[in-house]
Amino acid sequence: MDGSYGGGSRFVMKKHKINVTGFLKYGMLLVIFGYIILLLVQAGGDAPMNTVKEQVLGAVEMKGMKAAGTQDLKKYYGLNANDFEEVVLYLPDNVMSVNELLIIRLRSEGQAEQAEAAAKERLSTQKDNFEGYGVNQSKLLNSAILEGRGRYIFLVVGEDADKAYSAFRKSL
Amino acid sequence: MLFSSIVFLFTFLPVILLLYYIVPRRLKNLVLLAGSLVFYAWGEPVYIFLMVISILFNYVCGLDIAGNKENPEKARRSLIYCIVVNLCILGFFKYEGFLLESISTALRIEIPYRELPLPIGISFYTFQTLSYIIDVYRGEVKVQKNLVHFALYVTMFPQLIAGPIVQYTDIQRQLDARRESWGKFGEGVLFFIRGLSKKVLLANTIGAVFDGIVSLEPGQVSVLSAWLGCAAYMFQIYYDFSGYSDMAVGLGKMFGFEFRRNFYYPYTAKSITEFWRRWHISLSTWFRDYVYIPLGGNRVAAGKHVRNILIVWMLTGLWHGAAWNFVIWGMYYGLILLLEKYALSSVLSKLPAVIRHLYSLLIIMVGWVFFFSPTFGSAVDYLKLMMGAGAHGGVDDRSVYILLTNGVMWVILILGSTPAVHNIYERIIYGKKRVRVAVNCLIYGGLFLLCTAYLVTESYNPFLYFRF
Repeated sequence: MDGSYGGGSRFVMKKHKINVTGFLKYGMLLVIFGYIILLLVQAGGDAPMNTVKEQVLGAVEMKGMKAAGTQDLKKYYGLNANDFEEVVLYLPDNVMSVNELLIIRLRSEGQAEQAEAAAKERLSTQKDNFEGYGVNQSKLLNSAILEGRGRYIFLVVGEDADKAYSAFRKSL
Repeated sequence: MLFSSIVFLFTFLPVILLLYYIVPRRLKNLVLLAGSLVFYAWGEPVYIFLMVISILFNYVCGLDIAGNKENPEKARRSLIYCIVVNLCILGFFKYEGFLLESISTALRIEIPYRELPLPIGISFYTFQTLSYIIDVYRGEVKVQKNLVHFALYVTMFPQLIAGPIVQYTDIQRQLDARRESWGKFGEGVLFFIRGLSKKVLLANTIGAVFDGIVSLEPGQVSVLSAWLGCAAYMFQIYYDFSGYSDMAVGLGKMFGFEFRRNFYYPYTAKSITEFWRRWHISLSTWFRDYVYIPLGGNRVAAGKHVRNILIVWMLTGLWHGAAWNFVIWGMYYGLILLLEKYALSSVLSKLPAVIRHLYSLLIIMVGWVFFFSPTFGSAVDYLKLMMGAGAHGGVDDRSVYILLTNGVMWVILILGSTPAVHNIYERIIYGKKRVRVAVNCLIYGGLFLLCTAYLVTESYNPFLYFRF
């Protein structure tokens, strides 16, 4: 009797255990599902580059800067354009200008840290270049806006930096 | 966090090694797990939760499958459920945009969607967990009841974000019991520095040559420049990825683990079949064990064998990236492997070794064009340049300059991709223990200092395989 009771108990326990794992595996799917929805709701920052570019360029006067290419990105930021999904870069059009715009659409979030570090480095180099003699330039560089949002890294330097930033935020 | 970064080399690694070696044995896996989570969270704070929930999900599924061993139908259903959920997660993060855009293009309708950034390493850790789940179902491994051990298998930082893809069968015993030793630690350090040097000194340097060539305007590229660009990428991706794998193997050894080698001088292959036995071995092995053989492998009629090969290679292409050029790249290799199997093998075997080697390199280089080009159209354009269509002549001043100014580098890259350098080095110091230690310290110490000097000035040097 004892023996059969013991066997039954183990059976009940085993069955209970199976039910727990069975319940958990379905419960976890719900958690994963909820997490992805949360990510989608909170993500933002995923508008197509064309939309972002259009709205940012439309919001500001592009004076003091000119469109730059992949080699300039490598030269001034140490970044390879091929590593990212898309890059928009405008650099100063003369030696006394500091106006600059960089928008990077990342392939993965893991790239954000490095891309942001490169943008900070560029900003720091520019500040060193103008420190001590370019009062206006230093002022603009100190009020530069650098932000990572969703899949984008955004850097703007210039009189219209606030307008550009506002357009960037709205475009996402 | 990158292995080739100052913060990893001089902060993270020393701290984790110190903690690992001072804690008692029963806490070592926990320390390594905590370190691995910090390592991942450093670059992917948002996705750490996805990884944790994925670990818990697969851990529970493993228990569920093992718990239903006496009820095969239930175990099978549980296995299918687990595989489907894992593939849906991977599919959502990696292929959602590609799928919806392809449908939009095909149906000429606009399907709005929001694409999330790709969680780094998701392709690697999903394949690892699938190998565990399938092996538990097949009864080839025991279910892992220790959550810390299982979580460590999935997250172990040396191979977490760019492989090698470690199958659970290879590591299950090491998770429970492994032995660290000074000998193994030293060997790990050598592996690590070798990998770091491949990445920092060779891959990054030749990568700059490749970047320079592909950023030229189409009218400025001569035939020679186009071939040099392709050769530069061929070496960049080899030294980048095999360098990462060497670092992973080295780090594993430092913590007492043994991972299988992921590369074995692939550019010395004399056929494409041989090339794929030498390149990214852990991925080829995974597809062989979990897709090709279950489909019937080559022990089926020729028609089904062709189907099996094409399925595996389409999936291999898709694994590398959610774009048509990767699918084409995969199918390209599938077709060549079929050609070698059914038509070329008898011809190839009669040719001199040097011709077979040149044939392999040519096929590999054309393959890399599909791989590095952002779209299929741009790959075709680049191939046209290599054939002379639209090129700025056959040889121009720029291409000669690129060839000659990097002359020493080309020689190093070619020699380093063969076993010659390593064999000669081993032969010189073979059997002389003191000489071996002294020479290793001198050479590897020098390489480490050189890499550090490069890293201090470089602001960004991601690994190519991170994007997969």
